[in-house]
Amino acid sequence: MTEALIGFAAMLALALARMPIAFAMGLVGVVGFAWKVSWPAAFALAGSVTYETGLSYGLSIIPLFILMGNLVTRAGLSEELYTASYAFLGHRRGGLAMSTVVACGGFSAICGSSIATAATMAKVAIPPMRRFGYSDSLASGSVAAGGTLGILIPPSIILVIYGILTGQNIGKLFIAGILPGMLAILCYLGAVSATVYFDPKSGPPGERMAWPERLRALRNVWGVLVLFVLVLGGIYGGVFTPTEAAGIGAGGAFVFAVMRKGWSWRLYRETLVDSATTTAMIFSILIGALLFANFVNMTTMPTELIEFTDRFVATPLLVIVAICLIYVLLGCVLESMSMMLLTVPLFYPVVAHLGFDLIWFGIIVVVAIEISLITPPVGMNVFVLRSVLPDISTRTIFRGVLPFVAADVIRLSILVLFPAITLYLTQFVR
Amino acid sequence: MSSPLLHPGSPFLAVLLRRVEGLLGVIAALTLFGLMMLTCVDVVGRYFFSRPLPGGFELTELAMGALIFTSLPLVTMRRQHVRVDLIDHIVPASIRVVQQTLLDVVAAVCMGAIAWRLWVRAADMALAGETTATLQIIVSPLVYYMAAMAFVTTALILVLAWADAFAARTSRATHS
Repeated sequence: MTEALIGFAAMLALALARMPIAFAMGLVGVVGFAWKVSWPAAFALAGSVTYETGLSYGLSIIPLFILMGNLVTRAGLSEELYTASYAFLGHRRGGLAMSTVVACGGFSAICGSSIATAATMAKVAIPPMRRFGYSDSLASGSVAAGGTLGILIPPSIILVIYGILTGQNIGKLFIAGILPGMLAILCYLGAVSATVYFDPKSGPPGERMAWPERLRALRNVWGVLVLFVLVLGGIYGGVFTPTEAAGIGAGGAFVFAVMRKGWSWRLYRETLVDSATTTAMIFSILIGALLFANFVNMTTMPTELIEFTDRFVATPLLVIVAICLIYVLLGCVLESMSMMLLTVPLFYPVVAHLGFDLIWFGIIVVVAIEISLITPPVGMNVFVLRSVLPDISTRTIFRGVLPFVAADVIRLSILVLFPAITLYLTQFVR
Repeated sequence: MSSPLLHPGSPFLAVLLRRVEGLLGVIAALTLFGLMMLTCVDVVGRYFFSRPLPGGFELTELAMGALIFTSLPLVTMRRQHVRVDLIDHIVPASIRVVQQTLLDVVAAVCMGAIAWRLWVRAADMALAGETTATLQIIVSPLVYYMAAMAFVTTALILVLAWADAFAARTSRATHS
C-alpha cells in the first residue's frame, strides 16, 4: 500500500509542477515498476504498452468519434440546434438558458467531449442571452453545465475509455447513458427555473414563435437526428460494433459537412489535423495511465482496498458515496480523463466485488466527473468558457454554475438510488 | 548565440518548425481520412455486397499507429499536452523558469526512452521478418517510423524548452 501511495504523491507533485500529466504518470509508473520488479522489465513494459495501445483496432473508435464531433461543429449545426430549442422554449421565463441546455444536450448526441460542447455552444448561445439582458452568471452557468452533457449522452470518449479499462461492452455503456442524459436535461431545466424564480431579472422571456416557425426550425436539425439514429440505432440493433458505428458516423458527418459547407481542402485539413492531435493527446495520457496502473497492480494496494471494503458489505452504498466524494475532491486537482484513468482500475474490482453492476458504475463515474468539470478550483468547462469569453470573470461563472451543481447532486443521488434508470434500456441491446 | 542559424529566435528555426508542422499535418490528416474510409468501406462492403474489406482489421491497426505517432510531434509543437496550472502563481518567476526547463528535460528523457524501446522492437521485428496475418504486410518499417517520430518529439521538447528558457531570460533582461 505504501509504495502505491508514494507513487500517487510523486505523480501529483510532478503534475502540479507543470509536467505534462501523461509524462508524470508514465514516468512514475515505469520507475515504480522497476523498483518493484526490475529495470529491464520496466523498459520492456514501456515499449509493449506503447506499441499495443498505439496499434489497437478497438481504440480506433476514439479518433473516429472525435472526428465526427469536429466535422459536425465545423458544419455549423450548433446554431440550428440552438434556434430549434429556442423556437420551443424561448418565450418562457429563463427560456434562452433553457434553450441552451437543450441545445447542449442535442449537440452532445453527436459530440463525445464536454470541453468541445461547452466551447461550441458558448459561441452560439451567449450572444443572444446577452442581447435579451440575461445575467452573465446565468448565461455562462447554463453553458458550462450544459456542456458537461457531452460525456454522458452518447457517443462519449470517457465512456469508451471506461469500457476499455473495465472490459465492459461499449455499446451497452452508450445506451445506458441515454436516460440519465435526459434526466440531466430535466434537472438543468429545473435549475434554470429555480434561478429565474428567485431572480426574475436574471432571465427575461424571449419572443414567442408560432407553430409553423417552430416546425421549420425543427426541420433544420434533421442532420443531427439522422447521425444520432444511425450511430446509436446501429449499435442498439446490433448492426454495427461501436467501432464501426464511429467510422460510419464520421463518414456521415463528412458527407453532411461537404453538403453544407462545400469543399475546401483547408477546412477539412484543419479539422482532420485538430482531430488527430486531440487523439494523440488522449493516447499519450492513456499510455501514461496504463503504465501507472501496471505499477499500482504490482503493489498490495488493489487487494488491500478490496479487503478494506469487505467491512462495508452490509452497507455497500457507503462505498459508492465515498467513491463519488473522492471524484469530486480529486476533480479539484486533476483533469477528468487522467482522473478516471488513475482511479477506475483501482475502484472497479472493489465495486464488482460488492456486487454492483459495472455498466451502472460507469454512468455514476461519468456523472461524478461531470460535477468535477464545473466545480472550483479546476472546473475545466469554466476555464473553457473563460477562454471563449474573456470578459466574464471566473467568479461570475462559478456563481452561475451553483444551481446546476445542486441539480447534479440531486441527479447523482437519483441515479445511485435507482439503478433501473441507467440499466433499463441496456437489456434490449443485441 | 554563436551560430545565427541555431539561435532560438532565428527565422531559420521558425521556418523549419513551420515546415515540419505543415508536413506532419498533411500526413496526419490523410491518415485519419484513410482510417475513416477504411471503416466505412469495410462496413458498406459487408452489408451491401457481403464482401468485407480483406485485412481491414490489420490495416486499421497500422493506420492507428501511424496516426498517433505522426500527431505526437504536433501535440508537442502546439503545446496541447494537458498540464495542471493550479499552483503556478505561487512559484516565483525565477524559479519557474529553472523548474520548467528541468521538467521539460525529464519529459524529453521519457519520450527518448519510448523512442529507444520502439526502435529496439522494430529491429526485433525486422530480424524476425514479422508480417500481418492476412495481407502479409511487413510491420517493421512502420515501427521504425513510429520510433523516428518519437525521436522527433524528443528533439522538439528540447528545442521548445530551450526557446522558452531563452525567451524568459530575454524578457527578464529587458524588464530590469
